[in-house]
Amino acid sequence: MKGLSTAKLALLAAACLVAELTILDDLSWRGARVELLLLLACFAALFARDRRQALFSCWLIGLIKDIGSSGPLALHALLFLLAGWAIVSVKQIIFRESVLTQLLVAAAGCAAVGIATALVVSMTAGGIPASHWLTKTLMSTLATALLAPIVVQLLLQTRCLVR
Amino acid sequence: MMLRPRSLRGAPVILAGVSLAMMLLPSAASQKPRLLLLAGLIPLRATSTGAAQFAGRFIPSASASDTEKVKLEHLQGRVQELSARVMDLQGQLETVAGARGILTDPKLILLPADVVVNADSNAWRRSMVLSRGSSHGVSRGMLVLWQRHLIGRIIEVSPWTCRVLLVTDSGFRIGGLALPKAYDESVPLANRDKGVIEGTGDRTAALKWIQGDALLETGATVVTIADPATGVPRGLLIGKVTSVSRGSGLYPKVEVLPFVNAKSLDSVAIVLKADK
Repeated sequence: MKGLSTAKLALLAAACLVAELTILDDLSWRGARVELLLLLACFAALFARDRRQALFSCWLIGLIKDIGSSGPLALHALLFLLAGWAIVSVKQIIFRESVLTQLLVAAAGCAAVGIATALVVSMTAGGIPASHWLTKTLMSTLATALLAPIVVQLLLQTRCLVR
Repeated sequence: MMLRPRSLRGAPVILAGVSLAMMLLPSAASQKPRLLLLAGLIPLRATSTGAAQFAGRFIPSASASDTEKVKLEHLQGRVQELSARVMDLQGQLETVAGARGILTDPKLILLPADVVVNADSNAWRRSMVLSRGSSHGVSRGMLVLWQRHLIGRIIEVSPWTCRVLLVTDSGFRIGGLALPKAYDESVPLANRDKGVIEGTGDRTAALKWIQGDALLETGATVVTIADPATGVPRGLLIGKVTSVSRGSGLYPKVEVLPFVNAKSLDSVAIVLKADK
């Protein structure tokens, strides 16, 4: 099977960023939205042929997400890298083609990245009420996890997008 | 146990180190390239509007062969295009005219600006990108209004774009006052319910640090208080009080819902100083 193309993943990430800032933001509920770029990073971590490419792709996707952010540069790059590293570490013992695995990986990644981002924003910009943390992270995690198997299947079927 | 080559083991550490180094960059240095990249969306915005108008002209009709009819359709398309432009300019004019009444300082100029991106990719932040930058005289700290409503404050500027921190962002702070629904002459207005408006990172803001015995009530209008040091005028509209909870703490928790949904804005006005 042909490996993933980092350049194509980066282009796809740029398109996903535009979607996140426009359509997905309009569809968000109380600020909770689908983390499309995180899904792409999870996909790269799960299906990249080698570890180095998986981690670099995750980092690059995070950096692309940082373009549209008012927070510190490379915050998402670092968090996506850590999420990717965690996925790559357990890749050998999970069945990545399983819908449940994809759902759980996306949920864990989204929750971890969401909480870590909220923590950094609270420390650097200002406090976020605890009730917002819980509601938003929970809703965002649920929406992202439910969409994960669909996105993964879509990317696996339309190979020209990522290979 | 199988060992990985050294280069593979070191890759995440190097990337993490690069990320940390980038995170330590001052905001002024890291935001400029990002805003420059987002400036690429300005022509996209114009193109999408133009394309929609252009497509509207060529909607197929059953008897389009008639030359006069084609001409008429062309002219109708042109009229639609110009009407859209007039509406756009009218929107900008209303934005500026609404705010002009509240800015009494003649040194303050209102610069209309289009919204390029009205969202933040960080789910916990609230910001928007405007199509004006340092080449138009915009600088950090300037206020952004829509009619008489305060939308936010400029936090970063590039030559053609700038980023606005919205009132609902957790990093936004400004002096505010809750105007009571009924006037009580025993309490001077100047002493009432003054506090600090802080965003919550969600769609609301909070009025903090106000006295526990203040005459706060749900539905009260929250406006800015004058701050000559930062150039904030008195009376810019922010929102209305949606809930007041007095717990055991010294200060009550006051939730403020902004009057304007920043997501729905197409154009805003930046308050410039004439000497800039």
